[in-house]
Amino acid sequence: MSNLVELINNCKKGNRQAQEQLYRDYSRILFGICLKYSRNKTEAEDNLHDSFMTIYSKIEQFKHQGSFEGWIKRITVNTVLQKYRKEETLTLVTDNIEDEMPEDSGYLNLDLATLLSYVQELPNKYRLTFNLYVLDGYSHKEISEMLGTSLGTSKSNLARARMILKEKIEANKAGIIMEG
Amino acid sequence: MSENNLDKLFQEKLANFQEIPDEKVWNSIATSLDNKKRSRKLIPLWWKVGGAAAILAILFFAIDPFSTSESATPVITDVENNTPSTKDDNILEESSIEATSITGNEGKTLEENKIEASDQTARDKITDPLPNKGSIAAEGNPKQDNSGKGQKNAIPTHTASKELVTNASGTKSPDNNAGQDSANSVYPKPKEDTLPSKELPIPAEEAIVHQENNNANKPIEKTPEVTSEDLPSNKKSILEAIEENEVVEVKQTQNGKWSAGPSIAPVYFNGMGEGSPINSILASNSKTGSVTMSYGITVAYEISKKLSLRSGIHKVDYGYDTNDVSFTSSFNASTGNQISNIDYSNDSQSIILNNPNNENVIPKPGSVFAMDVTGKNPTRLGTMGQQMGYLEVPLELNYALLSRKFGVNIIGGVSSLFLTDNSVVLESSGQTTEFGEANNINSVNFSTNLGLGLDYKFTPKLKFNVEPVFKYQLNTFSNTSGNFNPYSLGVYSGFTFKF
Repeated sequence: MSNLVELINNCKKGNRQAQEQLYRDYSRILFGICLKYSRNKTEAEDNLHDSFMTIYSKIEQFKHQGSFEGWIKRITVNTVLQKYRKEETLTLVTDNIEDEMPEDSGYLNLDLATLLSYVQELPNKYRLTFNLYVLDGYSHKEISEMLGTSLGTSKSNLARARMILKEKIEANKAGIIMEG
Repeated sequence: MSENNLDKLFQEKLANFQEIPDEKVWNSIATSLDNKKRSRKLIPLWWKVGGAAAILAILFFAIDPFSTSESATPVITDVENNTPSTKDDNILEESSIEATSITGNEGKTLEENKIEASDQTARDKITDPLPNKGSIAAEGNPKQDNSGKGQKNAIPTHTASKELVTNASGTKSPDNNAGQDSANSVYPKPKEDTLPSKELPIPAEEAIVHQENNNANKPIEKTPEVTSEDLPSNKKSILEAIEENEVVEVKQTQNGKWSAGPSIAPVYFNGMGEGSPINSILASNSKTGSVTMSYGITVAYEISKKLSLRSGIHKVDYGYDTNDVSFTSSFNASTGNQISNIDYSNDSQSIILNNPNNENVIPKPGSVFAMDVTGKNPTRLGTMGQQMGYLEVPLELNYALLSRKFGVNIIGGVSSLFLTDNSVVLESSGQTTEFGEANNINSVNFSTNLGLGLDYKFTPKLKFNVEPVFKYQLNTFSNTSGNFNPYSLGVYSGFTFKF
């Protein structure tokens, strides 16, 4: 812990070695976030770059009052959100998708890369909402504030995201069956 | 497939997903850091220039460097002697011209520095992101790369697959703590292991870790909408724990760095010290400042959260009246008694100013002596008004002391003033005669500005501001008698729109 404090303090002084060490220690976690929130690897790398630049410039404001990892994760999420928020505004999706289908544990066999690519292929707002809600545990209220949308839009974005993902998984399964 | 199952599927595989980025990302970060270091050196220069401008404004107000040691110009006893005495004045004043012209240049170099600096920072900002994009874009087709490499990379790093095993075991067992433990085995956080779940008040620092651990367990706990909306206490503490500036970050991007808006101000103009820019005869006369209007457009660029650079263009009229001016019409006026600092208009060629203190030569109205010698006295008493119109281009730094719904700012900087109108009028018994134009007003002069800004934000993009600003003029006149150091005090109000 004291090592981390020292590392952070050295980063505050602009020490390049400390900055690199910080990158080595946390880039894996943050790149994971970037990959989930971005559309592809190139954009994820771009976002990781921007996130670290923000972290280095704001590290002065970190007062050791909370988890450092939580803090830099949040910066990373914010950096990605900012990027895609600017990019497009999706039209309101008002229909609620409610359906119950029988459970099938066979879906759990899908590999990580496939699931990641499904998430990445989602349209911006669906992807961001799905990540924030399902993977990072934010509430719709928080998400609507973060994305500048209404509560209802956030819910319907999530429903849409789930629907698309479900379709992709179904199609994947059908493909496997066909091949079999 | 139910929502829960779908969520669970993604959470298990992706919630704690990590991957090592390519080395090129660090290389591009290192390059950006190098660029930033260079541009950071420029920031103190801004502070220096801003500080210098504010200090100058205070100094000029306090020390008054343009005052010459001579007190009120000696009273001229003879109209005939007028010419030689003004020559003397000119010699004295030449030194003050030098002084003013030097300060004028200083003002210029200050401004040039500012402009250079702003250019450079702008350049740095523009070039900053380019190298990364270039290097990353060179990568090639992103999607194919991704699906291929994503898998490839996941295996060597090994953490992702490790987590899969641990997480799967965590979620299958209904016991939360088991899930927590397994998550902790991936992210060793010794202290939090013993923490019970949500209900206990959790210190901010641990709360975030707690949330991270909880992510893996979420699908079991969650009945979708209800749990997420009625936030468990630890979620709020996450928000509280995070740095304030961090929260503001998203808001910041909503607002651009540029803002602009119209402003209007009543401006009071007068001079400090006893003197007259028109003629030594008027040096001891009392002066009355006048209130005129200034209006224009202000443009601001936000350098940082607290500091912004402002400029714009304002039309401003300055004016003051010299009281108790006695003047008369004379045939020999055009032959040498005219005031050298004024280019007379055609209608006023015959007007000469009298020295009101000299009763021997030009008798005051009602004087017994005058009545005896000259009969009806042609001398009139009135006021002489001098008006100057300028286009003002300010360059000011605005430092926010408080930037909430109500904002308080300190404003300091310089203005360049370009002369557009110039007239001198004589007013007597309700009648106004255009006297001419002053020829000793510099076509470009500067002022040092210091003010206080108060603003009220209606929305993040729209605010109303009121700014009392004191402006000390540096080289308005090239040839004055006595110390006439003009200043203006304006209360600028207007709206600012951010975009």
